[in-house]
Amino acid sequence: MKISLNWLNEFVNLGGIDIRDIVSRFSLTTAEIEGYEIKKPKLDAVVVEILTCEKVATSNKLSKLTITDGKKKYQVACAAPNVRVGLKTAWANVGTKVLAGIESTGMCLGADELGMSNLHESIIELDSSAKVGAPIAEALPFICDTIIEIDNKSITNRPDLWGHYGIARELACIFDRELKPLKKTSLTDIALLPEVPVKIESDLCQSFGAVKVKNITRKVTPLEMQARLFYLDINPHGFLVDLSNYIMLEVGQPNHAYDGASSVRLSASKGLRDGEVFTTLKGQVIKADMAEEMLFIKNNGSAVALAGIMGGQESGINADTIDAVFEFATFDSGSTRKTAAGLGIRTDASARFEKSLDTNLNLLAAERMVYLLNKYDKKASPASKWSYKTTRETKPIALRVDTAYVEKFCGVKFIWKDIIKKLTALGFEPTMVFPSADALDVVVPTWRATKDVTMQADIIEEIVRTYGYDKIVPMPPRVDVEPIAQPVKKVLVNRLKDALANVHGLQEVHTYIWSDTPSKLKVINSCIKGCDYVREALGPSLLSIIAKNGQARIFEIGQVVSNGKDEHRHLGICVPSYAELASILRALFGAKFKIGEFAGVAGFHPKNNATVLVDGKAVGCIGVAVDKDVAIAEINIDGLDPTRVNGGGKTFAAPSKYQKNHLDFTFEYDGVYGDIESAFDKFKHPLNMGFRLKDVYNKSYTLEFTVGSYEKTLTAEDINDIWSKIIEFGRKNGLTLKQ
Amino acid sequence: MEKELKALKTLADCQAFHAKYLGKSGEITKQLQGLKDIEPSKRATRGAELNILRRETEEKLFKIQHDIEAAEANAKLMNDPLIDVTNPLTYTARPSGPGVTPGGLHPITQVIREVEEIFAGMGFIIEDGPEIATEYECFDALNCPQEHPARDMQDTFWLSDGRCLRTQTSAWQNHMMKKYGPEFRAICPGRVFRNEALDARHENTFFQCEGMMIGKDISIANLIYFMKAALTAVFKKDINIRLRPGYFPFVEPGFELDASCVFCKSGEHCPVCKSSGWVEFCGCGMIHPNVLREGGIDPTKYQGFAFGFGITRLAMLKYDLNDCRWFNSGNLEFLQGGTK
Ligand SMILES: [Zn+2]
Repeated sequence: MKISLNWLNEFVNLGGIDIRDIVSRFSLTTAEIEGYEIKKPKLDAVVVEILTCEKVATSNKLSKLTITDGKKKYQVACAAPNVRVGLKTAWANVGTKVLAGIESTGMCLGADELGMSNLHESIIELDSSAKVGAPIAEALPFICDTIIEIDNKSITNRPDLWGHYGIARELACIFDRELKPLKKTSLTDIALLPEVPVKIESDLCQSFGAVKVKNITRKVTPLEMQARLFYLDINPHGFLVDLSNYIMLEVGQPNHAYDGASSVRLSASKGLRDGEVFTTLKGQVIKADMAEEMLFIKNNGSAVALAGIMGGQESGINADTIDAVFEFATFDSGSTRKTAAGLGIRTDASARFEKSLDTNLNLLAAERMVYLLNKYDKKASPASKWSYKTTRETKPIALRVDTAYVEKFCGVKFIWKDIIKKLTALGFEPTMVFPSADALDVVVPTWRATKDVTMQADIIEEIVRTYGYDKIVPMPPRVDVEPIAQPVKKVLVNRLKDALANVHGLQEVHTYIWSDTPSKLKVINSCIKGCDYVREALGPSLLSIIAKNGQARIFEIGQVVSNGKDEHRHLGICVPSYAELASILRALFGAKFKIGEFAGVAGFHPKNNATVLVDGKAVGCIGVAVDKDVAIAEINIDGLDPTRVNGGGKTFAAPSKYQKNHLDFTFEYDGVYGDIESAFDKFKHPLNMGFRLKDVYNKSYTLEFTVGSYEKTLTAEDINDIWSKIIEFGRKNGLTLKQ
Repeated sequence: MEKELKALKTLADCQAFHAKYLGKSGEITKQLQGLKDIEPSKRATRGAELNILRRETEEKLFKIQHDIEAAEANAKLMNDPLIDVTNPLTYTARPSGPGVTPGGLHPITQVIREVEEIFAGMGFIIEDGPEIATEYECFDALNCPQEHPARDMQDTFWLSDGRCLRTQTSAWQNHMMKKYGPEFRAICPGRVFRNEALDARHENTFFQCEGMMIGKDISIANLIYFMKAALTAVFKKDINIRLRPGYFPFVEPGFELDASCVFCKSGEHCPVCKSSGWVEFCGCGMIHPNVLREGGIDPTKYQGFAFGFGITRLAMLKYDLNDCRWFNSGNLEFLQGGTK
């Protein structure tokens, strides 16, 4: 939102304060300022007076003027309709040229050429008191301004800051300057005039007020008002429309004007009549069947405005309007937001109503409007009394804050007298509870009481931000020292990543959680291509990286879902060699593999795939991805023990004092080694200290058993006993000893 | 014809079937050509029937062909030798030597590690939450009821079961309070998602780090102390911080935290902070009483602060990158990095 410094100065004298200070103090106390822009006349113009004026015969528009800048006379050709002898206007010496056969020096300027409005039909008309020869900025001081841009997002919680007066109030508080009262014309003491009938038929309308004004003859907006609107990106349209916008920008109350020539009976209600069609100013058509939950303003029963958002095509005032009815209402924030978002229409009005406005703004804005009307159009006068209905009036809120708590909460010892002064400057009414002074009673002004300030914590924010965050001295907290056990899941991930990257030489990658492969969990509102489903596996994501980079050694630890519901953490690995992949998993988890039942997913080699087992439990699969010729592992790591990663979690025992013996056996077996291994895992003998595969040749597996004892050196009988038991055990399990 | 379809066993069978029925002089084709001789009143109906028959037959044949092809490819693969991964001697060593790129952690992981170490050193638990969140976790528990405008501030990916991809790591706040409360300190780094188009400054998938500290007398002065200490450790330089008012529904008061710029060189324009001397670093604030209450913590007895900063943004600052899209690009040349 843009804010004019001139406008602010009307309410709080900021004289002598550097704009950079305003920007930085406001940013530190209230809301973020995105930047500021200095406005000045586009051309180097001076005040001149027209001495002679005659029509040029060869042109139907041009006049030939003699002007003076006080020092010299010039001949100027000018097409404006309002040229006349004695008029003081703005002129810039931009050189001499010949127009329609007339030599013309410089040009007389309109408001657009000075950069202060979009209006260009006529040249500037200055007051007769303007000093000829003076720079134009002296005659029109408002042409120079500073426009501050406030970040809208940072004031979403502050309905009161959506108008200049609210910003002025903040600055008055920040810089300890006086906030001037808004000049208004009271509407409550003209009870003798008739009412404008207004009716609230839905509680989405919190309050609804109207006032009729007659004899409005002014058509052209005063230059100063034009300049202010124009600098804030609102193009001037004509006095009444401009005034309506001006009030909104000044006090933050959106409003609407209706032609008052015929009778006006306003109401606020939901929906349209059967068959009724409402067309917004911008041409959007709303039919009765889609309007059920939308709030409309109706005049004599017909919808004339989409409440709080936009007027209709025939609602408003026109160039001939002399009597007008002005509406000032408050609409439900949620409903306004829903309707506006649903239709994709965001307006200055809806932006304000969405923030929850104070119902008391209605009358204030009306009184200010009538004051300004009267100021710029002396004949205009109220033709009705203030006609007002309300269903949910904004009331001040009374809160009590515990001063000791506030100091503990902030970590600051406050001087409460200063706090009270700052709160008062913001419109709060704070009273110290005497004699104990351990609490502060605060009445929250209505413009802060709609949503923004409702509890003690909100008052604390007001106290501490106006005190100054920069004055708080950082303090280390005092806490009990306790051992911290880091969550297992996190430890597991860290250990896995370290082992994969450092021990196995794999590069970690990140891929998106979604894919275009159908799964049971759909992303329903994605604006991104390929983001249709939540993925069930990491494999396809990793393969897409291989597709981009060629052969690579990569891994990812990331989230997937199963059954369209449960989120799991998977480890995906992709390396060129299937055999290496198996050894990585063996090293990582002590994994074992089960071959034979198709374990993989689509795209896996039908033979070269296996189920991955950790402690006998299936945790995933590995396989050769046929079309990329790479090996992929997909492991669910939920529940794996982090202490066991990469050989961790071992036990240690003193080795036996007695000599150990190694016995080799070669078995013939027409199957995979895993079968032999799982069989001998079950072999029990007091002297068995474990076995390993020593060699494989043509279905002949040579196993080396270590045998020994902690109590004695083995005798030949001991060795013979275990020797024969191993052979016997092998035979029972289908393993023939090779002779 | 159905019977014949079922009997197709090889691709050659399929070709023969195609020629018999669907080819240039196939039976269905012939009947279609013969339509012109039929009585005009019946022509349309018969034509429609024949066209449907042709399309259905083509579809069925296509599927059978596809299955046969897949089965044949599978059969061919079944001739491949079995690689016995149960055999520990079937081992291919990790490639090594010159020209082999070593493995490495993702740059984001490296930044997260640094952050985790710093906070763990200050006694914080390192938490880790899921990426799919319920509406309650992501909004309601964070003082953003249904009608709250803050729900508009973020573009949420909604899922078919009513949940969403978490838009902020704050979605884990409620869980942390219930798990560790009422007195604890924890951070939760993780991935978050925003439904928006990609550009150099906007990723739809990026990393944040949430932090909370709750106790009996945790104050704003403590928050400032902690953030200053943490950032000094992160940037390895003495950092000043300043708070500005910021609006986040789950804290009250809420702050935008600026850190003094470590990139400024005297006399030169600084592109990072636009020579303002301050870099917007994170949002933080004192935890809103409603948020504490939702987490089962009595706000009249306990209070605390919460903060959330962008890990991805921190990584961009650290590695001097001006395009955040590199992190999820899967470009290995980028991810493997280099040495200065
Ligand atoms: Zn800098």
